Amino acid sequence: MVTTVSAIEPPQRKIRISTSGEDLLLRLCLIALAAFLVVALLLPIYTLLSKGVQDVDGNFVGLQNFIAYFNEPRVSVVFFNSLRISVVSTAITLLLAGTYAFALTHSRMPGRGFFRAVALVPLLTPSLLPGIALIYLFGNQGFFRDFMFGYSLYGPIGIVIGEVFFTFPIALMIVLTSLLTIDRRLYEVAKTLRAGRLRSFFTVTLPAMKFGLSAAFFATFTKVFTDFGVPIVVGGSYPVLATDLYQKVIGGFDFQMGAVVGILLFIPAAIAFLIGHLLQRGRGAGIDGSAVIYIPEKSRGRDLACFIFCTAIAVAILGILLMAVLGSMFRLWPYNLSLSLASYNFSEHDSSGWGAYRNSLKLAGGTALFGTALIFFGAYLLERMPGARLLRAMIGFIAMVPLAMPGMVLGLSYIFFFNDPANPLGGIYGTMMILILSTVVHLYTVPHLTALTALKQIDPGIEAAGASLKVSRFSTFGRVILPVCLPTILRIASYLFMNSMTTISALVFLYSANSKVATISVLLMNDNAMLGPAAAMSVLIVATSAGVVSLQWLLMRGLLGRTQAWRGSER
Amino acid sequence: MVKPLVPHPFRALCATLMVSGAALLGTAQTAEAEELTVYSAMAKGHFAELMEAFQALEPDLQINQLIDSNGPIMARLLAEQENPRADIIFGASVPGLVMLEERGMLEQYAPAGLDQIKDRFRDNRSDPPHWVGTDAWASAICFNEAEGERLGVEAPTSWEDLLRPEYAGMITMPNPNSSATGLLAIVGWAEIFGEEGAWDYMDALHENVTQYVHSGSKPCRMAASGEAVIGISYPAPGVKAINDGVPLSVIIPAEGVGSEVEGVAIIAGARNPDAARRLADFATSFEAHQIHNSYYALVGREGVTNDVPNYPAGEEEALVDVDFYWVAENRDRILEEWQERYGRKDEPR
Repeated sequence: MVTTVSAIEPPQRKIRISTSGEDLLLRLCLIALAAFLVVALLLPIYTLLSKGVQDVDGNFVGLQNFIAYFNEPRVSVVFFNSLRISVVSTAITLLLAGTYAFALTHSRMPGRGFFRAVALVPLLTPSLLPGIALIYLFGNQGFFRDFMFGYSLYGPIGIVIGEVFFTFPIALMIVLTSLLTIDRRLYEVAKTLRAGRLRSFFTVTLPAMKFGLSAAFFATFTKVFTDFGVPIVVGGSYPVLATDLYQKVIGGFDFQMGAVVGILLFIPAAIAFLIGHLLQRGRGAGIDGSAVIYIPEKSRGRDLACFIFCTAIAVAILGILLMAVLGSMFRLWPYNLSLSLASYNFSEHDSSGWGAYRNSLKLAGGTALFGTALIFFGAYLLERMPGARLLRAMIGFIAMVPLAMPGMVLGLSYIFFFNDPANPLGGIYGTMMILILSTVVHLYTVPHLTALTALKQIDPGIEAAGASLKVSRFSTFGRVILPVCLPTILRIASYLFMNSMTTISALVFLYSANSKVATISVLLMNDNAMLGPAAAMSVLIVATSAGVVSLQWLLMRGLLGRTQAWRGSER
Repeated sequence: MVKPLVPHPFRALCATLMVSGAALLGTAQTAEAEELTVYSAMAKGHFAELMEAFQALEPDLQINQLIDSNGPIMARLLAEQENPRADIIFGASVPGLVMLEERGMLEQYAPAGLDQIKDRFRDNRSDPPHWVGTDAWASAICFNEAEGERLGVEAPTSWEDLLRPEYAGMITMPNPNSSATGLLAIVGWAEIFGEEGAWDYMDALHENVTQYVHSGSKPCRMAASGEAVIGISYPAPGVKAINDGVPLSVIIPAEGVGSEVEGVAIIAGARNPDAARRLADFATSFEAHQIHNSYYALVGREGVTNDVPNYPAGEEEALVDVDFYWVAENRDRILEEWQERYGRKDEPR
C-alpha cells in the first residue's frame, strides 16, 4: 500500500523547505564550510599528488618518480623497516593494553582509578619525549644500559619501546570501551551453564574484545607507521619512511622525491583507515538499554596478578616521564649530575629561546578557539540542518579524511600549495596562521565525531518545538543546543589545545623564522645533541598540557553540576 | 517589530569566529616596525651573541631569525626561491652560497670595510662580491678521554688511525646530505687521498661508524656526552665542551684537514634590502670579528687574531686548499654517491 512507501521517507523531509532568510544563511554557512575544507585540505592534497608525477620543471612524467624511488636500492629497506617496526610495536602495544584494560575492568584490584589515569599520561607528551628519556635510561651512558645486554638503543629497539609508550593510551582507550560494554548477564548465563572461568573468558570476554582489539590495531598501526618523533630521536641509522621523508626534503632539497615518499606514507595509513571504517560499520548494536554493567567477583589471585602487572606498566610510564624531568635538571650529563635549572634557560641553547614556547601557546590557543568554533558549528550544520543532503554527505566524508592523513604529508602539501606565488592565499605562508590552519585540519576528525555524537543525542524534536514556537533556528541553537553541549565543547577545546601543544609532524615543514614552536625547538636542540634543554622544553610542554586538562576537568565538574542536571543522577 | 535576521546567541558565535579570524590575521600582518629576516646555519651561541650586538645597534629593528643546519637552510631557500622570505643569510657554508649565486639568488654588495677582508674570505669572481666570509674552521676529531680510558682505547692522531678495528662502533659522523661539516670532511679527504682514495677511505671508515647524524656539531657533542667515543666534527663545539669541564680532546689529524668558510650574503629580491645591507656591514665590522674570533681561530678580517682558550693548536698549518667552486659543482654527485654507498646502513653496529 501507499503508506508503506511513505513510512520509509525520513520525517524531516516533510518539514517545509522554504527559502526564508534563515535557511539561506544556513545554506551559505554550509557552502562556506565546504569551501574551507576544499581549500585547506583537498586542494593541497591534489597539489601534492600532482607533484609526485612531475619532474623538477613541472612537466608531467607519470609514475617515473615512483619508479626512480623504487630503483634506489635502499627503498625496500626503508619501506619494510617501517612496516616491521609498525607490526612489532602494534603487537606489543595491543598485548599490554589489552591486558591492562582487562585488569581495569575485570578485577577488583585496588587503585583502578589511579592506574587508569596514569595510562593516559603519554597523551600529554610530544612524541619526541619518550626517545629523549630512553637515551637517559638505556643510551650508551644510560642508567640502565646494562639491561640492553650489549644491544644498542639506537635503532629498532629504541623505536619500538618509544612507540609502545606513545601509542599505549590510544590502544587502551579503544579496548577499554569495548570491554565496558560487555553485558554482565552474559557471564551469569555462562555460569548457569556451568562454564568454567577460562571458558567464559574465551566465549564471552574475548569475542567482546574482538572489535575493540581490531580497531585498536588499526589506530596503533597507523600512528606508528606515520610517526616521526620517536625514530628521529632514537632511530640512529635505522631509516624509516617518516625520517626518510624528512631527510629527502629538509636534507636534500628533493621535493619531488619527498612527494613520492609522502604518498607512500599515506597509502598504508589510508588502507588501515578504510578497514577500520568498514569494521565500525559492520559492528552490530554493542549494548542495548537493558544491559547490566559487569562487576567482577572477588578473586585474590587474579586481583594480585592484575595489580602487579598494572604496577609494572605504571612504573614504566611514570619512569619515562620522570626521567625526562630529571634529565632536564642535570648540570652536565653524564659527568656532573648535580641538579640545576640551567637547561631551562632556553636563550642559551636555542635561537628563539622562550619565544618558541610562547609561539606554542599562541598556536594551541588559536587552534582551540578557531578550531572549536568551526568544528562544532560545522558538525551542527551537518547533523541538524534540513535539506542539502548531498552536500552534507560529501562534507561528512571529507571531514573523515584528516584521520588517514599523516601530519608530515599534510605539511608537505601545504608548502606546495601555499608557497606557490600564484596562490592568492600565499600571504599566510610562513606565518602563525598557516600553522593554526594546518593543525585545525590535521586534528579535525576526532572532535568532529565527538561533536556529532553529542548532537545526535539531542532530541530532533527540539528544533520542531522551536519552529512551532516561532523561534528562529539560531535562537534554538544558542539557547538549547550550545548549553546542552557545553561539556562536549570544552572537551573539544581541550583536545585541540593539548594536541597542538604536542604535535610536530605537519609543523616540521611549515614553521618559519618567527613562528617556531616548542616541539620544533625540541627537535632542533636534539639534532644538536643538546639533550638537557630538549628534555626541558618537552617537560614544559607536558606541564602545559597537564594544566589544561586539569582545568578542563575542573570546569567540567562545575558545569556538569549546573547545566547537566537534566541528564539525571547517573552522571 | 522587525525581527533581527541573526539573533544574539548566534551573533556571539559569529563574533567569536570573526574575532579569532581577525586575531589570526593580526599575527599574520607585518608590524609597523622595520623588519629583517635572517637565515643562519651558524653555531647557536655564536649567532646569538652576534644578533645581540647587532640588536643593540638597531634597537628598533625587529629581527626574525631562523637557524638550522646548512642542508635545511638551503632547502628552505630553494623552496622559497620564487617567493623569497629571507632577506639575508648570515652564516652559511660558502659552497652553498656559491650554489645560490649560480641560481641568481644572491645580490651583489660591497659591505663597509671590505678592503680589510682577506682574499680567500670573499667572492673573487665578481665585484662587488656576492658573498663575504666571516670565519673559517677545519675538520677535527673529538675524542672522549674518559670513555676511551674505560674502553681501553687510545686517542687517534690521524685520519688513518680512525680505521683501526678497536674503534668499531665508536665513531659518529655528520650526514653530508644535511650537514656542511659532513661534506667538508669528505672534501678534505678528497684533497688528501684523491677522490678515489677518499671513497676507499670512507668504505673502511663505514665499518667503524655507529651513526651518521643530522648536524655537524652533533658528533662532537655525542662524544662529549659519552654517547659515542669519537666524533668527526669541527673544533668549536669541542672547545666549548672542554671549557664546560668535559674530559674531551679536540684533535687535528696529522694528514691535514679541509677547511670551510662561512659567510654572509644578501638575497636578491629581499623585502628589506636596507636592513640587510646594514647587517652585512655589521658582519664584516671589527666588532663582529671580535665575536667571530671568540669562537673561531680563523676569521675574515686582517689582524684579528685573539687566542681562543683550549682551541687546538696547529689548525692553520694543517689546512689543505679547498676549491669552493669545485665543491659547489660536484656537491650533488658526491652526495648521491655517498647515499648510494652508505645511506643503506640500516642496522646500527
